[in-house]
Amino acid sequence: MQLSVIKKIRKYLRIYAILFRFGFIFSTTYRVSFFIELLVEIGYQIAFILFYFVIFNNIKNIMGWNFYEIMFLTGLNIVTSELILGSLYIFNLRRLPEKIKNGDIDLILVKPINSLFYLSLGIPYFSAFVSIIPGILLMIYSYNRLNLPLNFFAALVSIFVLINGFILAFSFSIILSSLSFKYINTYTIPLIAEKIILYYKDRPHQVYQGILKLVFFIIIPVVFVSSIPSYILIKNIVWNYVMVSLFLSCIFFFIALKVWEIMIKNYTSASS
Amino acid sequence: MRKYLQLFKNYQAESWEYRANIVGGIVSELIGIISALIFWLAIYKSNTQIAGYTLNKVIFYYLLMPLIGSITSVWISNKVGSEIKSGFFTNYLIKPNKPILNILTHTFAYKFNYLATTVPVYLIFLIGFSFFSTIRFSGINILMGLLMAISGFFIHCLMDLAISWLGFWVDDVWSFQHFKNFIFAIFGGVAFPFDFLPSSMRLIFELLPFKFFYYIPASYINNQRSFSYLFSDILSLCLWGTLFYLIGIKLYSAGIKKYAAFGY
Repeated sequence: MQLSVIKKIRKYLRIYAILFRFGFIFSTTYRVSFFIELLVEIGYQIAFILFYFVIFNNIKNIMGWNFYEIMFLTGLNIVTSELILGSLYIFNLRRLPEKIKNGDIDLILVKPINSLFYLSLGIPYFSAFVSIIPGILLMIYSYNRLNLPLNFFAALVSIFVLINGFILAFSFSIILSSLSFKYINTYTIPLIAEKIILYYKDRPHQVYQGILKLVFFIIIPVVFVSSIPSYILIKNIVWNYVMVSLFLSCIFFFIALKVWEIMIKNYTSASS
Repeated sequence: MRKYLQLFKNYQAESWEYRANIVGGIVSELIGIISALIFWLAIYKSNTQIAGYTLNKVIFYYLLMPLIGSITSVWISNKVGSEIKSGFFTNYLIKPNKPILNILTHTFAYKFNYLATTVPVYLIFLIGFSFFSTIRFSGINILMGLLMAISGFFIHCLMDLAISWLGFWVDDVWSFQHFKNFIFAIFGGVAFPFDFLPSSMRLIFELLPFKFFYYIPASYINNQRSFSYLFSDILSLCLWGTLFYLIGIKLYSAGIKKYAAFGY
């Protein structure tokens, strides 16, 4: 049983590596287009950084986070946004409603591959993966400016929560986007899921208080994507958050699999 | 004139087919506004005033953004750019009307329906907020803001037309919308009011035309901009409008000579 699970994971990792190589070839075939794609991504990143520059021109901190702590969070936000967009959304979930409408899912259903894997992660957008570099550089720069000693244990815990955060973002996206099987031709469903994740994950988690804490820690747990991993690395480890992220990622992933299974049954081919 | 009126009616009917997208657009805007409001509420917990803005004023500013955006936003470059790329632009050339007027009629018809559906929703939010806050605005402020927004819409049309014609040379027309998105976020005042900027930076932002798409209309309604700027704003609008018109004409006349469509 365990061996077959490991075998399956290895199989899908191998397939993803091949798909990733295809993504690279596809993106770099037209070099001008590739550079324009990078320029667009970097443009958004500059806008994002400039926003905080202007805010900190007027205030000293945001809910206890100083300028460089926020810049570190911004760097991680850039990385997570690009990874979520590049792996999950741009060529995959954003196109799901159109594929359903056109009956293009047939081709995937007859393949010896998991439909959820192929439709959600099958076509990586390579330019987004390259665009994580400025985010990583910003994180390194901010960390240096904070004069913090490198804490390997905190880094490991932070990466663990980050992985849970990705599973949560993936699961939330799947739960919402799979509604496209039921409500045909509603192109905005995956976009709404994308906006919720991108807009609400980029703030320090302390901004969510009262009822909002319940919403963004439990119901739409986006705080585990960027804010809490940053907090663990640059401030301190909060074990409650670590445990909650693990628990929620398991629950959400299970729900996502079930919802997908139920929703895909609504699919009817449109081809002749 | 009659044929354009008929075209307007046809495009209006066509635009209702996409009403689900309008609803989706409103939901997307609301997601953005709520995110901004949560953020600013947190910031104002430890600040009473930032750059002359109280919490109420900031909330009002961000609530105004989608309303003003629904007036000033234009999607010509997205549509026409891809039509040039796909060869669909030929359809404009063989019809017995001027392509530019046809495109503008399409824009006005879609805008008319978009405003009819979105403005009431945004107004409910604004009026609701003004009941519970100390924000008061005068009729003249609203009028000036609306006039600025409508003028902003017209120069945005001219600017977007000029951008569209780049489709004669550039393949990656999809990127136009993205460039506009992040430029407007910063230089248009969507992300923050210009009053938050250091004075040297603000000077540069004030020189650019993007301020007319969000910041200027909002700051007139918000009573944050004195009427003494009115003359220079109108002059600046006219200058930018003329410049975009001239650039558009030049690009169109050069681009149409190299346009080639295949198929259909």
